[in-house]
Amino acid sequence: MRELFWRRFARRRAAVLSLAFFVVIGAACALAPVLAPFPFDGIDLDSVKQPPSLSHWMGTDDLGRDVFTRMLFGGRVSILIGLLAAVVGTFLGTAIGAAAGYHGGVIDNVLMRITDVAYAIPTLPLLIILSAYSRAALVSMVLIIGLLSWMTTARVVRSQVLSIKEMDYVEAARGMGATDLRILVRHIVPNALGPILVGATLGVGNAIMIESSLSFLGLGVQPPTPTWGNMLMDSQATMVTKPWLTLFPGLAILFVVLAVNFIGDALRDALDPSASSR
Amino acid sequence: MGPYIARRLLQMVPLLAGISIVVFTLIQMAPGGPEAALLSTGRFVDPSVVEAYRVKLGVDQPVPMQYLRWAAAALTGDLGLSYSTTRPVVHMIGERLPATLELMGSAFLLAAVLAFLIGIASALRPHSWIDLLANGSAFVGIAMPVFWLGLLLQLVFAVELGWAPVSGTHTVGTSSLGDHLAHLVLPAIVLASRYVASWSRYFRASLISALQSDYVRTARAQGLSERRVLFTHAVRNALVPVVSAMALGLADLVSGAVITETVFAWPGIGRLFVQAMFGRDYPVLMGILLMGSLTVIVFNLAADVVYGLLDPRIRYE
Amino acid sequence: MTRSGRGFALTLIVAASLAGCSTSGASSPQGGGGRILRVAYDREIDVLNVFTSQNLVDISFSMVEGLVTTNERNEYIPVLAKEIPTEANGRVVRGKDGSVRMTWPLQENVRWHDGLTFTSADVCFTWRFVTDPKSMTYNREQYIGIKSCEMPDAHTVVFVWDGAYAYYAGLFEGILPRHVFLKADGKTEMTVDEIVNYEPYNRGPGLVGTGPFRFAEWKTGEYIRVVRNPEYWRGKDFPKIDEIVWAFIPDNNTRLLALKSGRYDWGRIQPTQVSVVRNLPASEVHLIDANSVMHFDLAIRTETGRALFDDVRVRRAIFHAIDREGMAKKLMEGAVKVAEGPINPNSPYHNAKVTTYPYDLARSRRLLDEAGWTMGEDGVRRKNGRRFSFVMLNRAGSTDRILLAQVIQAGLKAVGVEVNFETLESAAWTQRWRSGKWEAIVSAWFLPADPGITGLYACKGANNMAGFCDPALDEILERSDQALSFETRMPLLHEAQAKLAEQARMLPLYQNVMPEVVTKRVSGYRGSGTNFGSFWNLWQWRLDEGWK
Repeated sequence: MRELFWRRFARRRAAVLSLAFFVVIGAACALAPVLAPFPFDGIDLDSVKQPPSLSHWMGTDDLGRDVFTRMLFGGRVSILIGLLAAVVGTFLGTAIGAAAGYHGGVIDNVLMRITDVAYAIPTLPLLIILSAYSRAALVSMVLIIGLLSWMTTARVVRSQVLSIKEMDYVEAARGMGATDLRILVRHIVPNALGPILVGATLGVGNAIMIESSLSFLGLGVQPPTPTWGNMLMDSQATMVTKPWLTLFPGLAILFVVLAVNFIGDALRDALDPSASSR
Repeated sequence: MGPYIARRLLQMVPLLAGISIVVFTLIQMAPGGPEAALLSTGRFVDPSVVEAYRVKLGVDQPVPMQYLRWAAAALTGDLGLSYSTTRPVVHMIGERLPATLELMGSAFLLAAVLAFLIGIASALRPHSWIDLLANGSAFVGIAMPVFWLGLLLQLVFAVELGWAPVSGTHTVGTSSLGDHLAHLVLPAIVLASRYVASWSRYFRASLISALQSDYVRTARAQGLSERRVLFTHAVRNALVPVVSAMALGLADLVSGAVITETVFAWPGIGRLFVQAMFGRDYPVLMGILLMGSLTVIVFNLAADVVYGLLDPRIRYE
Repeated sequence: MTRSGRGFALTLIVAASLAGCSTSGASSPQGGGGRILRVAYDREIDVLNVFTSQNLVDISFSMVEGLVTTNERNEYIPVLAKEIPTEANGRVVRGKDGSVRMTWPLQENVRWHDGLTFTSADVCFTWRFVTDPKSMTYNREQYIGIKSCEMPDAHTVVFVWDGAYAYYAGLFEGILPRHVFLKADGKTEMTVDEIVNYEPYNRGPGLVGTGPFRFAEWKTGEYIRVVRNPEYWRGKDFPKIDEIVWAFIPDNNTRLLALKSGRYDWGRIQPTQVSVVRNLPASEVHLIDANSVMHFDLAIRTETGRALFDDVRVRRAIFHAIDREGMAKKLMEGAVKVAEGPINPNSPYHNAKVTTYPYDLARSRRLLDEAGWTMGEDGVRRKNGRRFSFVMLNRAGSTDRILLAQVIQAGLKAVGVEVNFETLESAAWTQRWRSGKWEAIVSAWFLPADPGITGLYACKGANNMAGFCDPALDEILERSDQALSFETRMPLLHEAQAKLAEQARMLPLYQNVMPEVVTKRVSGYRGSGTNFGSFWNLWQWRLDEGWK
C-alpha cells in the first residue's frame, strides 16, 4: 500500500521537484542560524538599500540588514505558520462541512448558519480587538488564522458530501451496519479529498499572507524578527524605488505556494482510492 | 424547493439581528474611538474638544444603549450620519456601491471565464505541460500580493507603455465609454487574479473526480461522444463545489476589493470601509458591514439553491 | 471586457436616484477655459468647512479665504484683512484692566461668490461659530480669549481679548458667509449644529467663499473640481488658471506613478521617493520643510517610566546612543535634515544656536554608569534590582517610524538598554498615546506657523503626554505666550528651546520634509510647510502652455 502510494506520487515529476524544493527551503530555513552570513537584526546604516551584490546576494534593506539572512530566518516563521494554520483551518472546515452535509436537517442548518455568521463577521475589527488583548505567539497566531479560514472549506466539503452520500457504496456500507463516523472517515472524506486538498494547499499561501497582515496590525511577529509576510508588507512603500526588497519575499511565497499545490495534487492522486492507473 | 427558500429567507431575520449585535459590539470594543480621526493629522487638538466630540456623538454612552438607539433607527431605514462627513450613511454607501459592483462584476466575469477554461484544459490533460502552465500562472495570481500586481501593471501599461491610465474611473472632463473602460481594465484584471487560481483549482479537482466517476464511465460505455460526456455529465457535476467557492468570493464584496480600490484610486466601498475603520466612524462601519453580511447570507442561499439545480440528487428537507 | 449586467443596471438605478442630490442647489459647473491644473492629492477630505474638517483643508483654501494665511517663510500675511494689527501700527491697544483691543481693517471690495458683499458681520458670525463648543473647532481654545466682536463699520472688526495672546495673528484662516447660514425666513441664523451638518456647504454645491475659485463638482472617492472665479476681488487678471482638479490618490506608490506618467501638475510624495522623480524632464521636486519634527519621546507617567527616565543623565545617555545622522542621511536618503528643536528652521523663532545630542556611544555608556546603571550579565544594565528594559509603542502601518524605532532599539542595545516593541493599530495607538500610559514613542506633530509650544511642554500643557514638568520653563513659556511683538517673544522662545534641549525633554530626530513634485509649466508656486499648505497663493499661479 505504502509502496503503491510512493510509486504513484513519484510519477508526478512536478510534485517530486516541488517536494525536493520544499525540503531544501525548509532545511535552509531551519538551519538559518548556521547558514546565515549575517545576524538578522544587524543594522548597518552605512550599507542601506543596496541592490543584490556578491557580499549581499539579495541586497540589503532600509536599515542595511542582509536580505538573504532575513529571508532564511523569515522562512522559519512563515512556513511553519502557513502549514500549521492550513491544517487547523482544513481540519475544522472538513469536520464541520462533513458533519453538516452528512447529517443534513437541523444539524446542517445550524452548522451552515454558524458558517454564514462566521463568514459575515468582519475580519479587520476582530483582529484589532484581538491585538489589544493577546500577545504575539506562534500558537495564538496559528489558531487565529485557522479560525479565520475554515469557512470556504466547510461549504465546499459539505456540497461534495451532499452528493457523495447518495452514492451506492455509501448505501452499501450503511447497509452492512457501519457507524456514521466510520462511513464519514472511510468512505466520504476520502472521496471528497480533491476539494479538501485544494482548500488546504490554497490555505498555506493564504495563511502566509494573513500572517503579514497580522504583523501589520501588531498581532504578528514584532520587528526586528523577520517573516516573509512582514518583509513583503514593509517593503510595499519602497516597491517602486527598491524592487528587490519586495521581489525576494514575494518570490519565496509564490514558490512555496506553488510547490505545496503541486505536492497536494500528487497526494490527492496517490491517495485517491478510485484513481485509475493512467 | 419553494418552502425551503422561504424558510431560509425567514431565518435571515434573526440571523441578521444576531450579526448586527455581534458586529456592533465588536467595533465598539476595538480600542480607540472616533476621536482618532480628529487627531490623525497631527494638529494640536484641545482635549476639551475631544471630550465634547465624544459626548456629541454619544459614544460615551453604554454600548447596549447605543445599540438600541442605532437599531431603532435602522429599522426605519435610517442608518445615521457619518461622524466624519456628517452625511447620511445611506447616501455615502449608495454613492460608492456602483463603482464596487462594477469592478467586482467585471472581475468576477473575467475570473469565471478564465477559471472555466483553465479548469477544463487542465482536467482533460492532468499533469501535461498545459496543466502545469495554466496552474502555474493561476498561482502567480494568488501568491502575488494585490499591491504588487497592481503596481506592476501600472508601471508597465500606464507609465512605460502609456496604454492605460494609472488610476481613477475616467479622465476628468471626458465621459466616453472607451475612456472609462480603459480605466477599468487594469483593476479588473488585478481583482480577477485573486479568484482565478482558487476557482480553477476547485474546478479542476472536482472535474478530474467527475471524469473518473462511475456515471461518466457508464456514459462513455454507452458510446456518447467525449464532448457530450464532458459537458452534460462531468462539468455539470463538477461545478457544484465551485459554485460554493464562487458565491463566497462574490459575497466578499467589502473586503475583497479594498486593496485593488486603494491601489487604483477606485471610488468603491472597500476604501470607504478602511477609512471608516481607521477613523472609527461607527455608523458608516455598521452600514457597510450590515450590507456585507446581507450579501454573504443571500449569496450563500443562492449557492445552495444552485446546488439543487445542478445536482438533482441533493434533496432539501 | 464586458460590464456585469447586474452591476450596470444597479449603477444606473443608483446613479439616477443620486442625480437629484448631486445637482440640487449646485452652482452650475461652468466650463472653464483650457488651463487646467491637475493635482494628485493624497486623501479624500471629509467636509469643506475649514473649521469642522478633521483633515488639512488646503483644498478649501482655493475657495475660502480668511483674515490671514501663511506664506512660504512661515509668516502670517493678511488676506481679507488689509493688515495684521500690531502694537507698532497702533491697532493693538492694551486696556487698563488687562484686556486688549485689536482692530482689524477689512478689504472693502470683496464679494462672495454669490455676489453679496463681504462685511464685518461675516467675521463676527464666524467668531460666534468657532467659539461655540458645539462647533468642535479643533483649536477652539485659542479663540475663547476673545470676549467680544465689535463692528464699528462694515469693514472694520474689533476683537476685545481678555488678555494678551501671542498667537492672535494666526486665527481666522477662513471666514464663513453669514447669509448662507440663515434659516428660511432670511433673518435668523442657523443653530451651530445645523451649520456643522449643513450638507450643501460641507459638500460644496452651497459653498460660498471669497476665494479665486468657485466650487464646481465633488465626485465621491474621485476628485474635487473648482473653476475660476471671474469676479475675484484682486482684479480681473486673477486667477490665471481656469480650473483645478484635485484627484484623490491615497496610495503612495500609485501617486508616484501617476506623477511619473505626466498626467498631473502637482503632487506630494514620500521623502524616500525623491530619487525616482528627480530627473523627470517636465517637472521639479521641491523639498518643503514641514512644520513637523519627527521626535523620540520618553514619558514618566508610568511607574517604569518614572523609575527609568526621571534622571536627566539617563535621558541624555539614551539620546547619545541614537544615530540621527544615520537616520537622516541613510535611512531617509538625505532628503531630511537632523533637527535640534521643535520649531521649524524656516521660522524666524527658530533658535539656531541650540544643538542637542550627538551620536556618541562612549559618552552614553559613561552617563549610564554615572547614573548608577551597571552592566548585567545578560548585556542589560541594572540598578537596585531593576533591569533597564522598556517598551516602545509603535503605530501599525507607520513604516518609517517603525524603522526609526529599530535604529533606536539597536543603538540602545549597544549601551546595555533593552527595548521591546508593542504595535497597535492606529486608532488604538492614538488612544493609548493620549492616555500617557507608555514609556517611549516616535511621533510627529503638524504645527501651525505660530511657534507656540506651551501646550506640548508646559507642566499642564494639553498635549504634554510625556509628563515632564519644570516650573521655570512654564514661566518662560507663559511670558512668551503673552508677548504681542516678535521682538519680545523671540528671545523668550529661544530660551525655551535651549532649556528643552538641556533638559533632554525629547530627542528631535529630523525635520519632516514634504517633497512636492510640480511640473515646469506651473509658475507662481511657492510651497509652504505649515498646516495651511502650499495652495495659499493659488491666485498667483500660472500655467504656461509652452510646456505641454
